[in-house]
Amino acid sequence: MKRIYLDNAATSFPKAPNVGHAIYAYLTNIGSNINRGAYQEAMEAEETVFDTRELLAELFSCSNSENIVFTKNITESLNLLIKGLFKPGDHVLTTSMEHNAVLRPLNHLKAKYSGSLDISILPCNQYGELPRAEALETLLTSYLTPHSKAVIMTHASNVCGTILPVDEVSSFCHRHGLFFIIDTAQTAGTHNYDFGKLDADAIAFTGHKGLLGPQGIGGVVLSTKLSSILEPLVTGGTGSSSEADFQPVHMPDRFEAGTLNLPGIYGLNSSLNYLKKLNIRTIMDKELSLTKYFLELIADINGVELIGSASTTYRTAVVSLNFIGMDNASLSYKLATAFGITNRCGLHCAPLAHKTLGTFPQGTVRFSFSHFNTQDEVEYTVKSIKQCLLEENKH
Amino acid sequence: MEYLALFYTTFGSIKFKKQLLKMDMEVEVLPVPRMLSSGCGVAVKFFSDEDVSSLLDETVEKLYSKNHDEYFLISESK
Repeated sequence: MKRIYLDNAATSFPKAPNVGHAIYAYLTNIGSNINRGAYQEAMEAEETVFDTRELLAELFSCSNSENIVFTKNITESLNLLIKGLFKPGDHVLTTSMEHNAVLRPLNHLKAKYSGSLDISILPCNQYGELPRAEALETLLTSYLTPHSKAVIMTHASNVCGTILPVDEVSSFCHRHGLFFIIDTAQTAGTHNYDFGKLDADAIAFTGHKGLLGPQGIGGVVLSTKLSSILEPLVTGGTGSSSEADFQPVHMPDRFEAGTLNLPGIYGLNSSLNYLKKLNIRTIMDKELSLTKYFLELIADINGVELIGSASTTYRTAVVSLNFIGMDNASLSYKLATAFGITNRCGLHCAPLAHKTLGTFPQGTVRFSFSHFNTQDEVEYTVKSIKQCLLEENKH
Repeated sequence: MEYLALFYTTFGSIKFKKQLLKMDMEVEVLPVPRMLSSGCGVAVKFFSDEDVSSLLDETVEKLYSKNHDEYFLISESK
């Protein structure tokens, strides 16, 4: 049975064409660490890590590539930002569409501070949307306190694909002296967006989703202002300033203690070059065209409820469905086992988003496309859903 | 004149090396001589007969000139 991979919101597959080869070549021919030697192979690895930072700086419109910090994934990036920035008594704003990668670190920190961290949740509507323009300004203003320190929010929902008005929120933050932190797990590499205009204080990213790299590599782009006050999450050897008792202050070493995931960085380097050559606009157009086609085809099926917006404006290629009167889990499982359609059922690590969308606790069945998918695969998926529903109704 | 630039981080040394290569200068990355010390273990050796102050940025910790196997500190970042 052919496998049709529609779980790109969890991790992308396939990866960019040469990722596996790049990792293999590093492990086989180079294998050296960085920051810890001046021999040829070590310097070659240094060059690749440097080039990868430069590629990321270009992607995220960051003028200083030393402000690109590698982590193991976006969850670690968000933990670094949350635990390194907020102090007892601070106030932070976030949204009701967040992933647990934002909400759990915030809740843990609040518990650690015996409740002395004020967390405000900006309410999104049943489509996962925040208001825009004046209504957004009014909403944000209503939550502002003298202790407000930052807004931390997702760029797009991992449940229903809704894109949030991050540019407007960032502008508000700059006008009110707040840090602006964005979670790009669902948009980096797939949404053609000018991060330069956003002027965020921190852009958290992961390598294994839209950036088409391997698992185990992610990072964060920091503003110089934020990097100067952020506490490191992990401390230890950096290969620099070794005589000092404490972590060096210089970037990127300040936030990169321990050996980096170099095979991961080689893989990410390869995928970033692929994205650069292909152009993210091309990827976004292809993904949205497949999404639009899928949305059109499922609109006519009785018993299928679309969760989130039916429009392809302000959305990514993530679609959540609820199968009325059916167990979503059993339908999801049948699609995977009988038809080879890889999808994801449940709460998608975003219970608050599901509460916002009215799908808690049952969750949804999520389909997330990549530019490697085809129209034929969309048609086959819809046909398979219809077949499942038909068989279910017979019972 | 031969120079040796020392850095806080290896990132800084690679950045500096690439900047000089872009200017068609001859550069060599090598371990920091034991008689000197810096935050990072690699240094960049280069040659120039021009004023080199414009090449320096915040990643350069120290700059030495070398004459008859002796190093002379000519710039140090604060």
